[in-house]
Amino acid sequence: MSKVLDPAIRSYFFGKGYTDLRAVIVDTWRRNLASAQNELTAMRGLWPRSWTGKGLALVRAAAATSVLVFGTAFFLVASALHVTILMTFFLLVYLGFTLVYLTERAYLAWKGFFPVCPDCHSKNPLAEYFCPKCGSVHRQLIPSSYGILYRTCKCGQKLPATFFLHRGQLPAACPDCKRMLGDLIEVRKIFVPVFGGPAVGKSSFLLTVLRELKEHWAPKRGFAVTFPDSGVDSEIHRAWQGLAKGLPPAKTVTNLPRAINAQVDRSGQEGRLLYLYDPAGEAFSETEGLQLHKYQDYLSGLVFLIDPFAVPEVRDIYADRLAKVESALKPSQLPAEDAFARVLIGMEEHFGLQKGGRLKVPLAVVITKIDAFGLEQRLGEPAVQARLRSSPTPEDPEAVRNQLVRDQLVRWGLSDIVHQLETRCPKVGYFACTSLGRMPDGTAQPFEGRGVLEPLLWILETSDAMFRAERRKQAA
Amino acid sequence: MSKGRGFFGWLMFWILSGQLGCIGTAIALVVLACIVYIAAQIAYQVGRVLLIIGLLFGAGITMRNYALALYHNIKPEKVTP
Repeated sequence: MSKVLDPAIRSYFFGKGYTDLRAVIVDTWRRNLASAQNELTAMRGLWPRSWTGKGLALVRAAAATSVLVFGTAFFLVASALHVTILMTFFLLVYLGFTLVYLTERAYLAWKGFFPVCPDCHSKNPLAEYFCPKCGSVHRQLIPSSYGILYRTCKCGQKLPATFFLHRGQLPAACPDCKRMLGDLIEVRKIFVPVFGGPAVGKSSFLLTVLRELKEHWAPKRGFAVTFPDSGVDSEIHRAWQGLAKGLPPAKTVTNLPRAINAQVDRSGQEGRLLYLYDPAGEAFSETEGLQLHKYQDYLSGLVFLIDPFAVPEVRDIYADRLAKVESALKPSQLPAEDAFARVLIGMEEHFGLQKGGRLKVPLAVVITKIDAFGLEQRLGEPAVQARLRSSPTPEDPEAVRNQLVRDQLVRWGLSDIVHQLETRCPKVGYFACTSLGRMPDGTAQPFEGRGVLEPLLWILETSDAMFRAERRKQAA
Repeated sequence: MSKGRGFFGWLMFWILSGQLGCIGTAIALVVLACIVYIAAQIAYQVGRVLLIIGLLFGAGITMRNYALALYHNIKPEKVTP
């Protein structure tokens, strides 16, 4: 199955069996010749003696002939039998490991489990595993000629060769960048990039989403959210502490990595590795594209953030008040249409999206900064609740929120982008949120986001069975 | 049947001496032929038995050789702890 030579002991029937067979043939032949020689020498010694000696010489001569003739025939038959046994086991082992390998690949593909490096984001069918005893690298730890279910390292350590026997618990590294991977190598990966123009509030959104997920959503459902990268964990906690003290997160260019891996798991249940990616607001450079390209196979959904104060109509509406809060509000300079056009171009160039083709994953369109100028009362949860109360018939809150936000975008003159969104994406959800909960005013009052988790949960519930089941459980 | 002549010697002597007469000679010749036949049969059978013993012995040696070759050459690969 692979020509990679691992530091393991190959199955007897794939290597040493044939060396042994050759050695047995050579050794048998050598021994037979020596025995025949012995018998002939003995015969020559016995023949000139008495009749008894002649009789015994006859016996030895017959023995020598038998060793040569019968011995040759016997060892040919025995070798043929030996080869047959070797080949039978060879085929059985080959069939065995091929079946286990194919079953494992099918299962992993069905479950969407594959190793992804949290550092270089490369997706590989297999990580490089290390022997826990001697540290040797096993680059192809799969059911193979080294073993169907287990293999033996050269040091004698038995290693599981398949996912079904918890191979993922072995220490492993990324085959590309050699970074050590965590213990969630073989779990489903969920990749959600968060797009938007510069200063649209992506960093604040990501930080608040992660805090909501870890501190509110997960504990209520018995999940634990952790950040496998130790450096990231401390950076995120530092940023959260800043938010709690009323310090807004700096622009994307901070120590916080652009890709944040969050491990979501619950005991006794398969975990998920959530990749939230924050591409630079300045959109796609070549490097950015290459980075994104690696996620192509496990994209679960997109979040597209719209800064309402980058919309000319909104700026006109609030022109008189906007100037006073411009520095705190930091409106994005890139219009939403341009930001979305860049997203599409990036998706076409680097994500396998065909020109004019439709995205296969859900897209959450999120209006940010709704804490400003009372937008929350018109677009946020209060507006949804008001609409539900006033409706004569029971309505789905999600549908109401979608309608509210969509209508508002159209009223703001963004009907073109709405049309484009709905043409290119089969599943579009409309949301409104405030990542900080208030405008930064220099006070130490903590920032508390509202409505930030809903877009992510909607994507997760749309694309992943575990989150969907969780939602159904909560609804029941 | 004194030492040096033996039974065959005496028999040949009696036949060749012409003292047995026609019938006696004929009987002696028949007896000689029977003895020769029996002796040849015994030699043949003994030889055959010896040959078979030799062949079986050789076959035993062959199988011992094969068993020893298997014993000395078929071993699992060594690990280096």
